[in-house]
Amino acid sequence: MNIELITFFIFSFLLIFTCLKVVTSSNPVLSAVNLVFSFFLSAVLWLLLGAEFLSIILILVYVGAVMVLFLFVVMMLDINIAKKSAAYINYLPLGIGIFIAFNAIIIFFFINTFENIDYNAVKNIEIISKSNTENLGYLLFTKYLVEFEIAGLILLLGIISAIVLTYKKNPKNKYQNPTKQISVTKKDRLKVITGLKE
Amino acid sequence: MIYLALILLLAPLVGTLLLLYIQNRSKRLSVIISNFSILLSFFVSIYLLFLYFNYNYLPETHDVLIFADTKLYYLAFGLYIDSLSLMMSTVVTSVSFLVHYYSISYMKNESSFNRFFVYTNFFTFSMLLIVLSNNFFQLFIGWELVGLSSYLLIGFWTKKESAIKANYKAFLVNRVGDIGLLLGLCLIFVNYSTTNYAEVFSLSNTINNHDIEIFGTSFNMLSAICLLLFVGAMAKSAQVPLHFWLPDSMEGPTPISALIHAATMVTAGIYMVARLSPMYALADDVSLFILYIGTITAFFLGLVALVQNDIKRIIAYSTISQLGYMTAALGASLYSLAIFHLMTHAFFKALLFLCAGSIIVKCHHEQDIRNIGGLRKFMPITYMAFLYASLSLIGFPLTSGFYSKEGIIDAIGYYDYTIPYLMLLASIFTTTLYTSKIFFKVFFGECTLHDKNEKENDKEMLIPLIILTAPSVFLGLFIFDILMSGELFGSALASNALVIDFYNNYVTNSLHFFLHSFLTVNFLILVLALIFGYYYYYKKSFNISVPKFVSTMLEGEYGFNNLSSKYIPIFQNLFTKYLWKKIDILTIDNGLINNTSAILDKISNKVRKFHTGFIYHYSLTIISALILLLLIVRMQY
Amino acid sequence: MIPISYYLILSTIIFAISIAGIFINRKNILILLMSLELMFLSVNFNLITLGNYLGDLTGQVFVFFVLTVVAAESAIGLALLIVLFRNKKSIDVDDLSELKG
Repeated sequence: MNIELITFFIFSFLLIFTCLKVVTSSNPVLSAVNLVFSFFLSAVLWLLLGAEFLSIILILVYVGAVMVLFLFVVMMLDINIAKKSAAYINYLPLGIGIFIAFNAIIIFFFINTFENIDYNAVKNIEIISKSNTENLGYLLFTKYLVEFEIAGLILLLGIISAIVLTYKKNPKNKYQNPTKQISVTKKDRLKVITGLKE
Repeated sequence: MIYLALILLLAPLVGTLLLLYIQNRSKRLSVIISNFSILLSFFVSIYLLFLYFNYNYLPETHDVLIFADTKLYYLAFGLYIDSLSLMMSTVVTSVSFLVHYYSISYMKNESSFNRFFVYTNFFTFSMLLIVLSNNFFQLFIGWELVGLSSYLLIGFWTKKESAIKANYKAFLVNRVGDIGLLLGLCLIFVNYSTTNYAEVFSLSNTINNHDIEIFGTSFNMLSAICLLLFVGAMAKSAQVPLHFWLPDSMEGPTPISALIHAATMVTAGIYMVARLSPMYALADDVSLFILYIGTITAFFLGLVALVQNDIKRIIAYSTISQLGYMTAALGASLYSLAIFHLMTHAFFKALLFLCAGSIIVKCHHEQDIRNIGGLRKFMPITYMAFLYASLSLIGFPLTSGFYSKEGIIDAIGYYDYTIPYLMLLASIFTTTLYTSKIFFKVFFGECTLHDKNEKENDKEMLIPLIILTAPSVFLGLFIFDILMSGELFGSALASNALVIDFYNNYVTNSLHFFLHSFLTVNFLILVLALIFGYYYYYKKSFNISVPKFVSTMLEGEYGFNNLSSKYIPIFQNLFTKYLWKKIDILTIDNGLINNTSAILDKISNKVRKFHTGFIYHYSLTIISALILLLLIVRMQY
Repeated sequence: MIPISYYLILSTIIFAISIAGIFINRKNILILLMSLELMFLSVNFNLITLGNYLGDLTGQVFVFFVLTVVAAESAIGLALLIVLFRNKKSIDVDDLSELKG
């Protein structure tokens, strides 16, 4: 048994455990923290697969940004946690059933599909250096440049939509209504009043 | 030549459109436009006729406007110019023009003066469309347009109830014929895959050997086509089972009766059969059928005219009877004689109707001849015109009617069709009798006019009468020889040999025919009938009592009136009630529509329960579907 | 060398756990969103594993894009959650049945 395999087993079991905790814990803060843990663990496993850049990105972007966002939201919302405890017990059998059924089908039916694959068939990719990050960057900025730009646009869209959705108008603030300004007519501007006595 | 023919065809249409545009602005303008457009096409057709015969043109066919040109079918608007269509269009336009001119005075007090001319111009256009068409498709369109304008004109007085009923009747009876025509056209289209006359004629020999199966019995294809087309002609030309719309159509204005229901539209059927004579000449059995239909019409409906009292109805029945002569001539394959009689009849029958119109106007719309009498002194010109028209109608020697009618009768006798010959001879007697009945009752006897200082009608009404008298009397003499020797129509009509043979062996020339006629039984019958009519209607020297059942049968017009006004409606009511209750309400409303909605309602009420709105239910469905899909994919390996 | 099937089984288990999480959890939409994150994680696992074993970097490029999209998705999802909480004063899954037929 080599060190690689031992590492894999330790981290994968820890990963499954934390994932279970994410799903089953009644406190959303706890599950968020467990999710952070599971990201850390999978980052280690990705390192084992040679995806160094992505594992760093997973920690930096996911744990640093997205999960913090989650925690913020959890803190912001005033949810009564106490009465929610043990609510999932009722649905546990269903969950377990689905879990088993899905695993059974995927693992026992499809796992041998990959045994006879010729791994050398597709190994014609251009590799310019030994560094994973360099290779990835080269691919991203040459072959997948347009997609990269689109990804940036998607992120922009995410920012704008998040702002628009959560933006709350303050009634105390004074602001203009451009639509109303444009659709003004002559009658609205000037009103001639006749017949007034002094 | 083709452009001139286009002017001939389109002038009335342009007139119609202009008349529609000017509405009721000015009576003068509508008169000018309507008359001028018809006059133009009349002159053009005369000119074309002149060109055709003087420069020996060959028959021409042109596709002016192509609607559809695919591999499957070819539809075009085209013109067929030959002696037949030119003669026919000359007859149509001349009668039409004179009637238009007559109508100026006849209709002058009508509020919808303009509408009348719109209809008549449109009618002239559609009739010319039939006459000049070079394919069946255009024939059908013209046929329907003629039916439409006839419908509009019969019901011209829209507030008169009987007129509305009459135009319904005319329209519906014509629909029956149109079904036959349409089926015939469909058969032609299926078999020849062309609608052009010339192509169909060139193919009709091959089709003659084909058979068609209807309800298990097989018919000759060409015979079936000819028979179906003849059903259409039967309705238009008022032949026996489908004739009963024509007497009722006299509810329209009298000039219309003259134009449509005597001179032109009713001859459309005759013209069509003559036009298609290359087909009909091959279908012997259908020809025999046509012959008998024509003879029966000529004899039995002439009898009905004897008991009628309405002046226009009598002339209408006489029209039917004369159309019967033409049809009989068609059936005996004497196509040029039929067309000859068609032309002479157009003139003298239009003249008769216009005279009747004058009489009616003079007598303040009194149409019952029992209440009219002694008009000879007040209307000398009308009297003379009527006299000549009557002489022509009864076939008095030397008149037009004599040459055409005696020609038909003698030719049928010459070719040994015994029963038709005898029946046609007998109908000479009836024709003479009812003509003398009108003549003596209207112009002789006690005067019924209240104002003794009444004079003749307007000049506009008299001029057409005088003009029409000329062709009514002399046309026959003028063209008899060239027509009979086959020079006039040449190759336009099939079976010319029959007529030429008859001409060479029996007639030899018009003068000989005239002299010979005094020795024939025809003339004897004519003279006997005249003497009988003179004593019976004028001197009233004796009375004949006809058996009761005969007179009731004749007055009931062989039950055709009851058929259309009583029995068919009863049957129709039952049938439509059945359709309404069983098909409409039970099957369509309750069965299809309400049931569908009820079933959908039930199903959706069940289905909507799956729609809980909870996310996990939806995802459960998705996941179970995914698992199932995976299983199915797995099964494939 | 770790066999490819180990990684695939691992990702399958994570995916199954997150699916089960959707059903088990009836009280909090937040946890539902977290389950979604886990699902994406397992999919990324698959992509990286197969890309690695096939010697193809495209798998990793794809994971990169998936991460971008997921970041945008979770931002929008959380924003929606906040709007929902503002309107209903609850983020209970059981309270959300407006799609009911």
